[in-house]
Amino acid sequence: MAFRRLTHENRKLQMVSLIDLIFILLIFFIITSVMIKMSRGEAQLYIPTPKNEPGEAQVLIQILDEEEFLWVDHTAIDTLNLYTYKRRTALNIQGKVDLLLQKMTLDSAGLRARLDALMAESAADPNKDYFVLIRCPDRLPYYRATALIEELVDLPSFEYGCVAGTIEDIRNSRGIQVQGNVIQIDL
Amino acid sequence: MAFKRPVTPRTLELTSLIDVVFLLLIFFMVTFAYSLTGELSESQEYADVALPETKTQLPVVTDDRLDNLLIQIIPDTSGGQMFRKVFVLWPTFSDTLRISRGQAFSSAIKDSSFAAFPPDILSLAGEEFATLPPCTLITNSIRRYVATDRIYRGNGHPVVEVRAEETTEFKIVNFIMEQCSALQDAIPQIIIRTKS
Repeated sequence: MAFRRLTHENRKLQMVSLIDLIFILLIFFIITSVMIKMSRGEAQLYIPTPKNEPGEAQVLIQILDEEEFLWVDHTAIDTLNLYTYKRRTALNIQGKVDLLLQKMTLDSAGLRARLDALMAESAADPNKDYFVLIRCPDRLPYYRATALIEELVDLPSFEYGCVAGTIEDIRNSRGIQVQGNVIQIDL
Repeated sequence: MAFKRPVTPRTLELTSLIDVVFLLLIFFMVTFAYSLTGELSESQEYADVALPETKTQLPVVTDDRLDNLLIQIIPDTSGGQMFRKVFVLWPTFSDTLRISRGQAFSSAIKDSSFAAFPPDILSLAGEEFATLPPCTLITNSIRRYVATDRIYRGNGHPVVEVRAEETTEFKIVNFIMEQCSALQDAIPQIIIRTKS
């Protein structure tokens, strides 16, 4: 059987069709990139209504700034007690706040680690209830607080409160007292 | 005399075929995207009421069905200063009729169910802030919504939705959350709609 060799003319590239296709591909990728941006849309966060009643909280998370958080839990009592024991002097409110800020301020990664630890603790003891109080300064974008709430809402044993407030409010509070295993902040 | 038809090979032009298929694909993708957002029709609706122009990243309304009370916070920079406007969008309580957010937005304009925060809200104390027109609008709307929902929907739990850009000040969103918190048994859940 004889095969016919391709002649040089048969190998010619159709430039018009090629450019046509390239343009269409270009338009296709432009539109898909726009659609990817559009499809991000708006995030919907379903949160239980916060319980903003005076009472005890196991954890206080004070949002300090965009990337800084003050985490106050039962370990803060040890921090304050240890300082008082070593120095043999009692701290005033400003001193206590400064000490807590120095020892217990977290960045985003630190906060993530603390939240993970808290969740592991909660999973280990499902009967234990936790109340987390989130305080956020008025001036900050609200998503700083809602992003934190989002981390907590899926856990059944958690309740939370969400209030406005700055670290200066705590510094100027009427008192911070350690009584037993409880820190009382009298705002 | 016998005529002979010229025989031409009937091959399919693959390049043209791909060309047409891509064009059709792009056409359907674009039309589908528009039908999802409904921005064309809604922006027309928005223009009809001659509101001041805003520089918001949020589309003002979308075609989504509205089932809950929606409090929408929109930034406005039209006067040179940035201040936020609050629109309260009401759902219908009918079992057979549903309205879109666009329709609810038009109703909010017609019913004057909107108010603007002053630019200096962060300097206002809590009580002073709570007496601002947008705050009283929010408070009254939430209370009225709960009462109306009890009448029309019976045992169902009303849900409040908050829609705002993520840069919105915590003070505003917290005020809404506080109002819901004060009626916690009535409003067990809040939906936060955020656009980055």
